[in-house]
Amino acid sequence: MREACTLKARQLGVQIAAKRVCSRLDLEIAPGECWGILGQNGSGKTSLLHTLGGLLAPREGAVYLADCELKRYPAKKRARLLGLLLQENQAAFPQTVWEYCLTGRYPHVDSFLESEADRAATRQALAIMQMSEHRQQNVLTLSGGEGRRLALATLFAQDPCLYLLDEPLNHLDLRHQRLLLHYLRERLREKKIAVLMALHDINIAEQYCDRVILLSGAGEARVGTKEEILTEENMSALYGHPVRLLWEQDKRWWVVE
Amino acid sequence: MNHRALIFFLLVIFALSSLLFSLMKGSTSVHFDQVLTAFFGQGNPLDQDILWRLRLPRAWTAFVSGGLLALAGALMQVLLRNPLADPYVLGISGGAALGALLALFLGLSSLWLMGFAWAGALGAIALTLLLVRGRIWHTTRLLLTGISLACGFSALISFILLLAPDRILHTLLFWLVGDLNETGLPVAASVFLFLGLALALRLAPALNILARGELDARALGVPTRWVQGQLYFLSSLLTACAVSLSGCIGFIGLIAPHLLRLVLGYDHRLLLPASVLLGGSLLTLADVLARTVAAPQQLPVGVVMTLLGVPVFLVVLARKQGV
Repeated sequence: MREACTLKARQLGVQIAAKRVCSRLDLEIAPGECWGILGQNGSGKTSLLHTLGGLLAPREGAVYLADCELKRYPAKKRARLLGLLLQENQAAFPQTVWEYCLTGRYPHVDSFLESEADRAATRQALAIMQMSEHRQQNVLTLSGGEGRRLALATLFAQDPCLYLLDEPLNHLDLRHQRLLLHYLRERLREKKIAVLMALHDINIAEQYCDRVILLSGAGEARVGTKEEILTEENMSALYGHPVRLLWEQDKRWWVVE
Repeated sequence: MNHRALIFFLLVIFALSSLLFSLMKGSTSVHFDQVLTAFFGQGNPLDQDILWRLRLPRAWTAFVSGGLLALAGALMQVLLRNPLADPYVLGISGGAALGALLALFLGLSSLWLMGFAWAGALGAIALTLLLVRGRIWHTTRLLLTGISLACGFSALISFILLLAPDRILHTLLFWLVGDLNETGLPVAASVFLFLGLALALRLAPALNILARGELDARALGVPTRWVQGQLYFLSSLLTACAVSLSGCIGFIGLIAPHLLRLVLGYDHRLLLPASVLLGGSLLTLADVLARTVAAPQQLPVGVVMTLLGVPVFLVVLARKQGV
């Protein structure tokens, strides 16, 4: 079970049209680890996530999930282990929040109807993101933040052991940001899951991530521990804007000049 | 869940009563008890003849065509991710009709007619998909593409009609606007309808997700290419089947799924069979109207359906947000 959660990339090269995102990237994400991806707009964070999630074929190298190459997995089996939160979710048809969230169980359901266990998992997932009272609401009438919470609840209903999150805090208010991060931290502490998230906030990476992937935007990716990567020099160079590190007792805070 | 079961039950009752109503109404009205006695092979032979040879094949043909079109519409709405998709509006029926007319014009057998109609429908959907290809499939773009395609097909159809000799022209014209005259029991089409529904139901859980977008669906483990391929073949086959059975009848594929979404919600496991029932009932009733409104003159059922469908379509278009 523990082994099932390990995601590996070997000599991974990602390229979108003529733009190189990374090459010869090696990484191994183990259960209990939280990884962050930092980079400017357009540096390829989403493309890297989609490649690691099996939605895009790698240009070079390969991605392995539980020691088996990701592209060999049938789609449903992959989705039982690996879940992806997209940057934006869109709804074209009216569905209730409950119906939408229940679709998260798709990879686990082999029969025509969901079981009571599936419904229980869905109820729990909605409760985690505090969406239970919206159960009967039409998804087209949700606000941006509520829609985001629903997408996260659907991901929790899917119950993978690997979470690839594309800017998970988008649209969320402060309280729900913390709610999400604390929930993930708790699951990480139990070593039940592993998380990789694309972020724009250095402080979130500082507080929640163990390791960080830095995308330069010029086709280079650096991987390292938080302490190695999150330095004033690196951050200022990355964003092309001076960023400073402040110490408050043993806590580190990043401040934009 | 309970209220959905109730609606489903009501739909079955509605379907049965529309069929019964269709058996009773016509140039001579047959009473309910006469229908019953004739049904069990007793009573007056004239009643029996009317029922078995005329009314039943016609009522069932209407029901099957309506069911086929409603199912095709519901599937196309997922394939094109747009609640306004309908085989008729998007020119898919036009493509099928062009194929079928070509077969009729060339004097080919009815098996060829079906094949030509399917080829026409496949071609029309392929063209639509090709032309609308883009990141987001805008309603305006989809509708404009469909309307242009429909215009193109109708021009080609007119061309064939102009070339057609007088003796078959009336048949072609009547068939084209949706005609249920002189039909036998549609055995092949009924089989296609049931097989199509069974296949579509197997896809239903995936369809609930696919309508949200390809990326969402792939992230949740839906084999999207495979499902879309099946949707494409299935919806064109169903359309072609309906068109070769009864000509071009519009808006059933739009109205039935739309009304059902309002009351049943959005689960294709319910929506698809319910669409077949409602689509079948609606067309059966439209056919009764077509037979009786201007009796003894019979109107083509396609004309009646279009007159009923256009206002609904416009209302849906106007309130697209709330569909």
